[in-house]
Amino acid sequence: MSNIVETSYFGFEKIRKGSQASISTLDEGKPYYSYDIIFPKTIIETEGLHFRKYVAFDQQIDKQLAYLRENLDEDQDKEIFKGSVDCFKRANLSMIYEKPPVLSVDNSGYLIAEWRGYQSYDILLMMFSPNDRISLTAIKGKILVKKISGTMIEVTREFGRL
Amino acid sequence: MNKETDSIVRYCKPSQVIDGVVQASAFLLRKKDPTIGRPKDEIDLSVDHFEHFQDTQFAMIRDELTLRGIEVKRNGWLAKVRYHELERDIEERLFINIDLIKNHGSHCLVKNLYQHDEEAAFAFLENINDQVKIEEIG
Repeated sequence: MSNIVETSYFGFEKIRKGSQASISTLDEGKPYYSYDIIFPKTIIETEGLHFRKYVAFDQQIDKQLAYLRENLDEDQDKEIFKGSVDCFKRANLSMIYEKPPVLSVDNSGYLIAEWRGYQSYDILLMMFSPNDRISLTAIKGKILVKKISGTMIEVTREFGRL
Repeated sequence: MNKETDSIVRYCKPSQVIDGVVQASAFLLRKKDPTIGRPKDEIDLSVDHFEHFQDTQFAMIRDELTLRGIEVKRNGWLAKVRYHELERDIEERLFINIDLIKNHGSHCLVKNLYQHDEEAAFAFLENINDQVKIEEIG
C-alpha cells in the first residue's frame, strides 16, 4: 500500500502517504497542517482500516458520478454540473465520514451530497458550487440545527466538527 | 382544492432518484443562470395537484407535464406529497408559512420557500406517501 490515503479529524486534506509534505496548500494558497502535526497516534495506527474504507467509498462515489453524468437532463446545466463535481472532489479530500453520501443533481445542475440518518442527524445536505463555495444544511430531531455557506475550507472544517 | 386532504405531485428527474429513493435535490428551487437565459432565481416550487384529476392521476399528470414542455423521462419519477402535513411540518420546524396557489389546470406553485428550500426539502421527503416511475405508469 504505497499510496495510502489518510484523513484528519479536523477537516483538512486527506494526505497521500509518500508525499510527506509537512505544509502544503488546499485552498487559495492557504497552508494546512501536516500529517505529523494533526494526527493522533491511534489514527495513524488504524490507517490500513481507513484506507480500505475510503477506497470502497471512493469507488461508490465514482459509480454514482458516472450514473449522474449519464442521466443529466437537457435543462440541467452541464457546465455547472462539471464545476460542481470538481468542487466536490476537492472538498471530499478533506472530509471524513462513516458512510458515503448519496449524490444527486438539482434542477440547475448543482451536485448535492446527502446523508440520511447520519450520526444523530436526520439529514445532512451539502451543495457544491463551481466557484468553490459550499452550503451545508443539517437537520436534527426534525429541526434545522445548522445552515452555513462558505468557502470550501470553511465548510469542510465545519463538517468535520459535526 | 382541499388543502387539508389533498396531495401535490413533483416530477423528479432520473438524477434525483437514486436506487428508487427520492433525494432532496428534487425539491430545490432553480438558481439563476444568465448564460442559459434564466436571469433570476426561481422563487416558487412547481408541483401538480393530484386530485385535480378524478382517476389515473399519475398518467394524467405525466401528460400535463409533457404538454407544458417538460422533458418527462421514462426513468424519471413522480413523487406524491401530503400537502397538509408538509405545511404543518414546515411551519412547526422552520417557522415558515408556505402556501399552495393553483396556477393553471393541475399546475400549482408552493410559495414562500425561497431561501428556505434546502431545509424544507427534508419535510417534502418525509411526507412522500407514494411514488411511481414514469415507465411504470400505464
